[in-house]
Amino acid sequence: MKRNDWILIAVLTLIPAILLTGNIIAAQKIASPCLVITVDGSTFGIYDLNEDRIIDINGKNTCTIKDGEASMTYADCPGQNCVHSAAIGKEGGSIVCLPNRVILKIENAAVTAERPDAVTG
Amino acid sequence: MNMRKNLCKAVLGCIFSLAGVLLLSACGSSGASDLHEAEGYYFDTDVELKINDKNGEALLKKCFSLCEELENTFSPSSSSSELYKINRRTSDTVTVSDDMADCLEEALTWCSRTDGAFDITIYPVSSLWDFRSGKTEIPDEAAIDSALAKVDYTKVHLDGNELTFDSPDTMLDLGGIAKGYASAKIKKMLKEEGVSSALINLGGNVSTLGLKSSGTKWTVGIQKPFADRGETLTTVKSSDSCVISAGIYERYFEKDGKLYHHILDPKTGYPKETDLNQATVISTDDAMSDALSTICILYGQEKAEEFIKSQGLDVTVLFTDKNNNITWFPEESSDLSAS
Amino acid sequence: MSAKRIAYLGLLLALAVLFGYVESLIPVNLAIPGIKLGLANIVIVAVLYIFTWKEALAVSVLRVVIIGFMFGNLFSIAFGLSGTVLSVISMALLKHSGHFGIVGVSAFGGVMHNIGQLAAAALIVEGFPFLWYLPILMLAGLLAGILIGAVSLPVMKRLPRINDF
Repeated sequence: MKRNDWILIAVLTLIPAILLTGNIIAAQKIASPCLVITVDGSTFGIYDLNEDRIIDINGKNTCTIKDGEASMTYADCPGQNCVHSAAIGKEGGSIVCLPNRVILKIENAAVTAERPDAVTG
Repeated sequence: MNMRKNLCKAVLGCIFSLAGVLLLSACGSSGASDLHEAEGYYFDTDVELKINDKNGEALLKKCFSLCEELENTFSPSSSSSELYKINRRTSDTVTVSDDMADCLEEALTWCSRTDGAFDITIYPVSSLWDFRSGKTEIPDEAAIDSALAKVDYTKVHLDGNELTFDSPDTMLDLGGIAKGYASAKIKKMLKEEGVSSALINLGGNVSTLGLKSSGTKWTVGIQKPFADRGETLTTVKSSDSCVISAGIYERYFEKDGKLYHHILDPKTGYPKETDLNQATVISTDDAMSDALSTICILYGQEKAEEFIKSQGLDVTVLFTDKNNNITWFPEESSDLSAS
Repeated sequence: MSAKRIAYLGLLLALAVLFGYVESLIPVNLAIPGIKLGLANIVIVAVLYIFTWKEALAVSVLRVVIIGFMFGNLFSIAFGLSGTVLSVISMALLKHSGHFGIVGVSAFGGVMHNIGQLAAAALIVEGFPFLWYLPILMLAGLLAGILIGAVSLPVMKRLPRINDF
């Protein structure tokens, strides 16, 4: 076998290894709670709850992520139900703006039902 | 050329380490945990033990023999037990074992602190109802009245290991505290053996020592009243503490649409009317958790909170009302709850 | 192209088809679809070295089509072709460069074969998790390629040279 073969094999090992690591990190990220915004049934965007930001949704709604919670801070609809909805955090939940068909939803909500080590009487 | 050789080695290293990583992950997490578990049946209930220690098996045996010993001290029904013999004494003064003396001392403190709302001389009444045997009959009113006349903890005096009764028909029932005393004793023994991580579950009285092998606190589920065994309302994180629930759902029967549960009122001789389905007490004192959980049911939420405040007790209580809604006391304790 | 060459190539093609069939008889249950040894590639690599890339491409394409008509469907032909064409072309380029040995060439071919198939899958199936499968199938292709390359070497020594005809 030529030296170049070894180098080639090394490169061909490293590239998938790096990709695999990236995938695993990405998978862990996906598994943590995140905010998914859908408009009219199609995904508008997926956002990390740990990053404070303001998301403009087609100029009709504004979603604000702050301190790990997401809330609808603006809607151009008359009802304003979504604006008055309680903020949603990593425990899950959703906020819906029906007139604009915008849905804020927490995916991969934190699972609270860990199997206990023992149960009281 | 030399560089290339090194490169060659590096490449080989890469491949082998990758293979190594893959192999390791394939082997799974057969970590160095020394968790030993066992179940037994003592104190009329299931006993579950988890011990993280390399001597776990020997320690489990030791725990169970301790359970047997304590059962033989506190069982009200086994004819060979110390309590059985005390209740059927022939003289007014008896000499009791150290365990009996320790437990009685603590129990009598709770009797006087609650001014008899919690009373360990309830045995004549509790044996009449006999919830332990699964009886579903309301005792005769006259029988309850005559039994009730025998209930009075002030007729019991403990001086060291000398136990004196003012009346020959006073009988003791340590059901409201003995399991807490037992788990504390088992925990103490394990500590002395150098164990740093264990969980003791005496029929739902859950006492923990240290942290789990994973380095996290133990998770204790709070039984949902009247739901299937094991279904939980919430969970709490526990380390070096004792979590004990008392509730009207544990032993009960229904008759003519009325629920008769096993937490009897020493003042009336009947199941205590209460606004709670359950009270869970978390503290570092197992016997206190045990006694106080029953006291909370007897008092109801409001009076129980007052009692804990006035006595300055260092406890956390989770009250479960008739609709299984939960409230923490003190309120800020809800962070104990595992989220 | 002489008749002998054609006959020889036909023989090798038949062998390649047979290898593919034999491999399909061996039940391998891996969690990830698409991982296989690719025994037929021994023949493709051998043809690449005994003949030129054109013959290798012809044999590999014909093999996929024949196997596809015998046991598969149009989809499997599409998957197979995208993998095999990319694989043969990249192996030919690598061999042509002269810097690599047969194991290196075969290893690269193995990786590119799987990348080609994945690319086809990504184009055909909407929402195919391409990036998730990519590293796993790259490693699998690499491993298979190295093995095929290592086996091809002694196989080729025993195969008659083209000049013998």
